[in-house]
Amino acid sequence: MEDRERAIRLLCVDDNPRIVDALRLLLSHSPGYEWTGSIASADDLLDVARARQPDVIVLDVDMPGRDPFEVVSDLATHCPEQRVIMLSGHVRKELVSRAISVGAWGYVAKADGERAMLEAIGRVAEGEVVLSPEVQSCLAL
Amino acid sequence: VTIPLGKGPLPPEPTVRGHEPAEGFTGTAAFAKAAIRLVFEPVSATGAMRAEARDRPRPRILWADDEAGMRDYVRTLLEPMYDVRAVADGEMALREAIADPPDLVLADATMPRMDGVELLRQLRSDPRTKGVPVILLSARATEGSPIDGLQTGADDYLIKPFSERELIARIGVHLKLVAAQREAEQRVTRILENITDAFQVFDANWRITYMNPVARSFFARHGMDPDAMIGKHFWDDLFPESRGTDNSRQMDRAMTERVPVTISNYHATWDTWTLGRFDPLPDGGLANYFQDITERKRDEERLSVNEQRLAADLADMVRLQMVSTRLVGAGDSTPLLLDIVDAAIDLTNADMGLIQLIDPASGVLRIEASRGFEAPYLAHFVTVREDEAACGTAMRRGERVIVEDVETDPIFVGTPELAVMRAAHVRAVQSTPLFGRPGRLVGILSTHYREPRRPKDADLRVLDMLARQAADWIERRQTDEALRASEERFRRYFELGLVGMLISSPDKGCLEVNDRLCEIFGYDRDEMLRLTWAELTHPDDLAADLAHFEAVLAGEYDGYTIDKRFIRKDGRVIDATISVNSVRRSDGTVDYFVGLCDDITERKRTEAALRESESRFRSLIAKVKDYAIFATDERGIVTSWNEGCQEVLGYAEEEFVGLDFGDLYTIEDRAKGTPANDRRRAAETGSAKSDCWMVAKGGRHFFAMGATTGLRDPAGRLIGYSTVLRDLTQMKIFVDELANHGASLERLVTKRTDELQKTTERLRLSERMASLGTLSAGLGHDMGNLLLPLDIRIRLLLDADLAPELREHVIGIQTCAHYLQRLSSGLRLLAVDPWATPANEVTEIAAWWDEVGMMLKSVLPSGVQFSHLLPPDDCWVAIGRVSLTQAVFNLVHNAADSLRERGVGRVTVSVQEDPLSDTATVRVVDDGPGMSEQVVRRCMEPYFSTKTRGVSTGLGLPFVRGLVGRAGGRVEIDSELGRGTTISLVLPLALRSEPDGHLNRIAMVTMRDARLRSFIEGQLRALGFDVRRHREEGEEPALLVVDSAAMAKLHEEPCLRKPVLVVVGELPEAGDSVVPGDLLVLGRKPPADAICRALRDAAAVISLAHA
Repeated sequence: MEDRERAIRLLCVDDNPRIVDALRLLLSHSPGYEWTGSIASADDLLDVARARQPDVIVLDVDMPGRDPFEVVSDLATHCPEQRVIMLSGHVRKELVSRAISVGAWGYVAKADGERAMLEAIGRVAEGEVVLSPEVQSCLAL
Repeated sequence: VTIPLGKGPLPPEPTVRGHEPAEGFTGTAAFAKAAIRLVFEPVSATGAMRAEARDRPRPRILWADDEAGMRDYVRTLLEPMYDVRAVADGEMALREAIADPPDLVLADATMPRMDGVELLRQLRSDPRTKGVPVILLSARATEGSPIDGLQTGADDYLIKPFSERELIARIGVHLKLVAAQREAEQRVTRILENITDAFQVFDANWRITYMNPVARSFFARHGMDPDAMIGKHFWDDLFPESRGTDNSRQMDRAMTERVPVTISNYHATWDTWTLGRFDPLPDGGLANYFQDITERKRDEERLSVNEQRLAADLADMVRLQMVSTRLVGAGDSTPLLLDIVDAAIDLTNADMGLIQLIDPASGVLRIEASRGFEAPYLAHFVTVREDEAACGTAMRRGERVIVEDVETDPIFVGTPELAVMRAAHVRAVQSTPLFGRPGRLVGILSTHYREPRRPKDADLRVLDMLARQAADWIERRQTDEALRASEERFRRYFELGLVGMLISSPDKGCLEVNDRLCEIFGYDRDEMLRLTWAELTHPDDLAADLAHFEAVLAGEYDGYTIDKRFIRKDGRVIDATISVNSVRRSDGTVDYFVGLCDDITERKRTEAALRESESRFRSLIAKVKDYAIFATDERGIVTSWNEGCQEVLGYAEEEFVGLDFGDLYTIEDRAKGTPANDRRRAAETGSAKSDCWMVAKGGRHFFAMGATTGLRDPAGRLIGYSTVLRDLTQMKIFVDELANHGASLERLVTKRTDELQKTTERLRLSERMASLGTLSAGLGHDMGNLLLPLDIRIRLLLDADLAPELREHVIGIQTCAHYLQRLSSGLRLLAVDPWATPANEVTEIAAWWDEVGMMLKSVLPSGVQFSHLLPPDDCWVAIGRVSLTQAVFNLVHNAADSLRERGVGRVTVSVQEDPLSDTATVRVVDDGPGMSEQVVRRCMEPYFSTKTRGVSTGLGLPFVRGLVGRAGGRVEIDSELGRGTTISLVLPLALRSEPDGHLNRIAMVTMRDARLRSFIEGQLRALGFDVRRHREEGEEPALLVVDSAAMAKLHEEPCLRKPVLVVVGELPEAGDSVVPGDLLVLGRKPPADAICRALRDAAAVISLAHA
């Protein structure tokens, strides 16, 4: 991440303020990351993404409003250069599979902790698909 | 003279040719004789001395004397010139001499233990030392002593006292003699080694003392060891069985009478001829040289056999010529056939014989001439069918049949013919087929014998020649007869009047006409004979006929057939078909013409009407498209076409007409003869319906409904068939599918019912678990929502500049968070339906425990202690993580329940490996109240519970048993009231999944979609693959993952070993794409879990292929 010319711009989509706050704090203390803000629902995500041009979008799977998987699919079609990491407390195989199928670049289990989160954001920005340890082991079942 | 005299018979007259060497011993014999002289005749000392070589090493002398003073004196005397070995007695001298033969032995005559005379005797009797010169010294001054010494065979004898000069001179002479002799011997040996004859030497006692290489290889070739033969007695040791034969007596004569003999000998065991010569040698032995003349003998024999055969052939020719002359001289046919029979009897030394000719009309054999048979025999065999008796058999086989004895030959045994043969006193017979020029059988020539026998081969050869001549003659005769008969027939035909006939001269005049012709043209015969046919011809048709006529005259062809018009006497025009043939003179010019003329006026009119109606019909059916309607001739060859043939069968008109209708049937039907059967049915019953699969153009099969109708002319003769076909494939398929559908529907219902039953069962067992799972999932989610912020904030705190005391607190909080994290991850395993996980998963115990230990502990009441006992790392069991977790969770939960009331106790989870039985036992032990015997018996039943409703999980143990049983393990319960409960899960150990160093784990991913590619690469790494994006030099990937575009380009970079290929996308059009060994095609936009599954399958295929 050091060799990137500019910081990785992050947008957070989560209705849980605890998560949003924690992530914002985490990024503001980590060099090479730039917080572009957060929204509490995926409904307007397409517009916000176009406006703020984040590199990586962290999207909670379990939110009221629009089906986040549909939103990911739309994003993949219309803003392919903005990559989505899905964040979830539910780590179920079918959810992971569906996320990858619709175009997500990463899937991170909340239980995997901040390290996994930070690493995922960096690697996805580099163009890798990242599954956090718990997600990977769930997929292997 | 051959050495080995075998046991086999000797030739009738053993060649003994006195003293002259036998022929064949040319150069080598002379060499050998010279050699013998050189070796065995006395050598003059002077000559030998000159021959002494200058560069020889110092001669070695063995010197024996018991008197020490004398010994030293002589040694000192000789040492300047020779190497001297001095010993004290005869025994020592003998030992030394044999161990290393010296050039000369000098010995005192009187010595203790062994005196000089005995030493001399011993030396002479040993082949190694017999040639060493010996000089004896004696102190005895008696008169006779020197002579005694020489008589013993000593080379010289000196009496003590002797002068130094005398001793040195004597020694010098003998050494030179020895040297000369040795050199001569070497020269001879060299000669003997190089001659092409075998050579060996016998001593006077028949012991072999020498063999040259040719002799050695001769004996070695016959399995004897030449080295072992040296020194052996020729008769006693080597060839005792040859003693006493004539040849051995000759050899003895050479030995005893000292005369050279030459012997030719056959050794039966070796099947070998030798020619050899024995020459007496001056030392009383014999020199023998011999040659292996087996090949020469064989050639001579072959020559002699050939000469005999030629002589026999010549005699046969003479006999045959005599018979032929007789045949040619014969006149009328029957006597001639009898002549052939007589000749055959004569040639085969037979007692009787007969000739049968084939009756062209009936194809049976008919006797035409016979000799020596009575009427009953001839009556019985007057006609013979194919395969009857010997002649019928010869007829069928087309080759000669020989019956050596009619009583035993299968041709006659058990047939009525045998009795007839017996009555005619025939015991043996041969039947020779007579073939005409083109290989046509014209008859059979048989001869018979009164005694069982087989004719000689030579006789049969001559009989063959006779048969050929006879067949030629018979055929010629038959041709003549046929010609006569056909002339006769022609005459009758001419007069019969079915068609008009005309014999015309080359100038078109009528030479002869029949009544019918007159009738056709309306002239009477006399008028006709004055007319030319050209005058009768319609002027418009004359030119065409004349052109043909001139061509025949010019010799271009012999005849022609045309349709033309004539004009009758009454002026009416008639249509006729004429067929003209020429009869030529021997110079090729036309003698006369034979013309046939058929009035076809009526037929033409009928044809025209028919054509008209047919064309109407045709234009009608030609427009029909759904039905192929066509006609065939009586053999089934297609003669017409309609558009339906194109529609239904795919054939254009020009392709279809001329086709065999049978070709439209399937291969199976053709093999069964269905086409012919259908035609026959159509011919017999008027029409044949057929609903069957047929073959259209290009091999396409279609289901045809068709009918074939026989077509007959007005006279009722069958002239062909008409067929109508319709393609009912779609309907057939529909009907078949409907039938199939019913069956598969039924199967499906059965299957679904089964599945439903099983699912219901499982559902009943797992519904409680499922609710637990839902709980776990929800809990996991909530905990995640709390854990992540917690984790982040702890991290930020730790990054901040904290007082050490505070930092300690934060680290404590972090530890708790991590515990929570693990608890949450253990819960996840409870949230999954174990039955939905693959049945063949394996679990490593230590890693598993890390994941679930915390969660299991959380199940227990706070007063209950929890401990575990695990095997060291790398213990793999053959059950999935989810199943194992849920099974153990249930057991721990039960244990917790049993201890809840008491509030204190201990629960231990242990895992123990037993490599002997290839199992690992997972035990959950509690010290709770235990179970009664009855409860132990029943506790595996579903819904059996000891606990109060609402508290019990109810289905714990049956559920556990289901999971463990699915993994191939079993559950054991050990419990007693008051003694606690131990439940053991005995699970099979998994095969260690150690990475195999030889297994090729290189995977290459080539696809345009970077996201999908990265995902796949990640999954491949998780499966243990080395992932590449580009092919590296010399690397052969085991697995290729490609998208459709990359798939289409695979052939540009072919792999030597076919990798497993996973195509994420659709398979490109077949053609130039490479089809690998194993192919998994995922289709467009496959879901991620399908990709994962395919990659796992591919990995399994690779491991499997490797194994």
